[in-house]
Amino acid sequence: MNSIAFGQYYQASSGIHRMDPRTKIIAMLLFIVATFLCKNILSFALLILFTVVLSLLSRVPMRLILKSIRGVVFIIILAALVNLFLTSTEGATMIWRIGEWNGREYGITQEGILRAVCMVIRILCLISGTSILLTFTTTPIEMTDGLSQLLSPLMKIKIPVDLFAMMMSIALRFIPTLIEDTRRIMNAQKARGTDFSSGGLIKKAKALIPILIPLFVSSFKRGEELATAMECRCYHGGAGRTRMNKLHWKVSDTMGLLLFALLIGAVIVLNLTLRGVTPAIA
Amino acid sequence: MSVPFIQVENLRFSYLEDDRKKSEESLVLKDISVQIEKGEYVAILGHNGSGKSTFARLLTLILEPTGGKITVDGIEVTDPQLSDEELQKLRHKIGMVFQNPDNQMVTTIVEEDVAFGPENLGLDPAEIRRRVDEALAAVRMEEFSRREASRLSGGQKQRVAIAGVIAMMPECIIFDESTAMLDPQGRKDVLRIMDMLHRERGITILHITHDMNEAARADRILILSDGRIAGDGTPEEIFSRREELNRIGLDVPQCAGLMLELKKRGYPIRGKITTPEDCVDSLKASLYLNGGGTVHG
Repeated sequence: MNSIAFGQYYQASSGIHRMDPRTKIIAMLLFIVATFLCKNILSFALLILFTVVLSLLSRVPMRLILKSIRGVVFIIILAALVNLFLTSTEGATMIWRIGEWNGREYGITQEGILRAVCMVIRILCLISGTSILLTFTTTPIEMTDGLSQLLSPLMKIKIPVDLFAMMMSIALRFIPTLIEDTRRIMNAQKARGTDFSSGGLIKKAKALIPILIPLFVSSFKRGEELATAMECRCYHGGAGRTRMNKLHWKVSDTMGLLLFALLIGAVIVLNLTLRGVTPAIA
Repeated sequence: MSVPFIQVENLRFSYLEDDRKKSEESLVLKDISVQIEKGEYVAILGHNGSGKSTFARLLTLILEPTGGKITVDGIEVTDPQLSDEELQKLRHKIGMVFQNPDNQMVTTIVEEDVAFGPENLGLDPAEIRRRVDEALAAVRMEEFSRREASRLSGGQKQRVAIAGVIAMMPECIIFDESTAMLDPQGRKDVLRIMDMLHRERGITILHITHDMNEAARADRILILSDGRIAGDGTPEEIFSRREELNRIGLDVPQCAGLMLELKKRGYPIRGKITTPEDCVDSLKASLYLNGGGTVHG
């Protein structure tokens, strides 16, 4: 029940788990840029290699990574089909001609197949790479801490990043409590004869009302009590607050970021040197 | 004469916002005056709706009194010109542990929750770390420091909540029915921690409860009934006025009741009768007195 609060976090001890969350957030951005910069077969090969090494380093079981991909299978198939059939056929090597429409030829081309394959690889690497870097190896709390510290310069232009971070961490803290509340209310309503499972969509949605209203009421009550408890512990907004666990930037974090920067560099170099040698993929 | 730690004079409070509607009946607290010295262990006893939780909330200025004066450590906290800084100082001095442990935890991880108060005080990270470790050790929860608070039992959560207050190093802790939602073991643990904080650290304890047995552990009992103080004295003094207690819907603990009945029927009961252990001792003593040592055990 409580595991939902921690999303897909996979408990393990690996270099990637120990990385500073700020490093992982920046690395993820670099990684996304790299996947979109890939323009030829060799750079895609490098991307696959990098992702595989990343997943091995993280010690997250392959089974879990594949599971996270399952959710986007539909998008992958769609992207593959669009690229397969809608790649411009002009000057391309036609494999299977479908026909002509509006003065344009349609069919499957060698280039189209290549593009579709690369698009699939791009999405696969994107999903698995980002989930390894963040969701599997970073707890939501670390993520909140990292994000708020990365964005803390915004405080200078009066954006209350610390308050948002506090709201985030309270929200995370209350997820298991709310799940527990929902279960309790559902049981109470079931005991009074509410039927949640039968009927059509509308009937099922209507059956949720007797859960949602008590849930709202109890959440407001909890919120008020929490606010009182926080005030009693001298909470007075973000000003003058210190933190016990400061994030520490380690040498390994710099090294990790360098690796990702190197990936981008390599992709760009491959794009430039191999221009015209291997078929370019947009 | 030294000034008492907490001095309450003619305190009145109504939940109604509109001053004109504040009739005598709407007052939750009607004219309360009491003094609490530093280092006292006071139980504030009353049944539901007697105003005891309201009283606690007024002491930390979560609620503002309708009338009257509260002075804490020489500072009049009900002064309308009280600065924010002084308000924070008051809440630093008087910590509060609430009834529902779930609703007073701010963060997911135990030690981060304990650190919340000290973080608000703007302390140095190393000092916060030292206080958090010390506070968790004081409630014997140190091995849970990196755990998720949501996976702990009610009693454990309440111990974490107490650690969160201890880490702020207050001079006084108010326990607002902090044992009411706990199982017997959790209750025992929390009561033991309260005794320890009072005995070993000299922290002033205000224990708000409706349980006579728990109140009997205190040095002094204040009875609130219908917004007024209906009794103020040591547990012995309070328990000896059983009829009065019954009139306001309270009763003495079972063991004390037995002793009082025995006394009434002419048995020579002497000594303390507040806790079951005391009662056993007093009973033994009087039996030895009567039978000349024929009782075993």
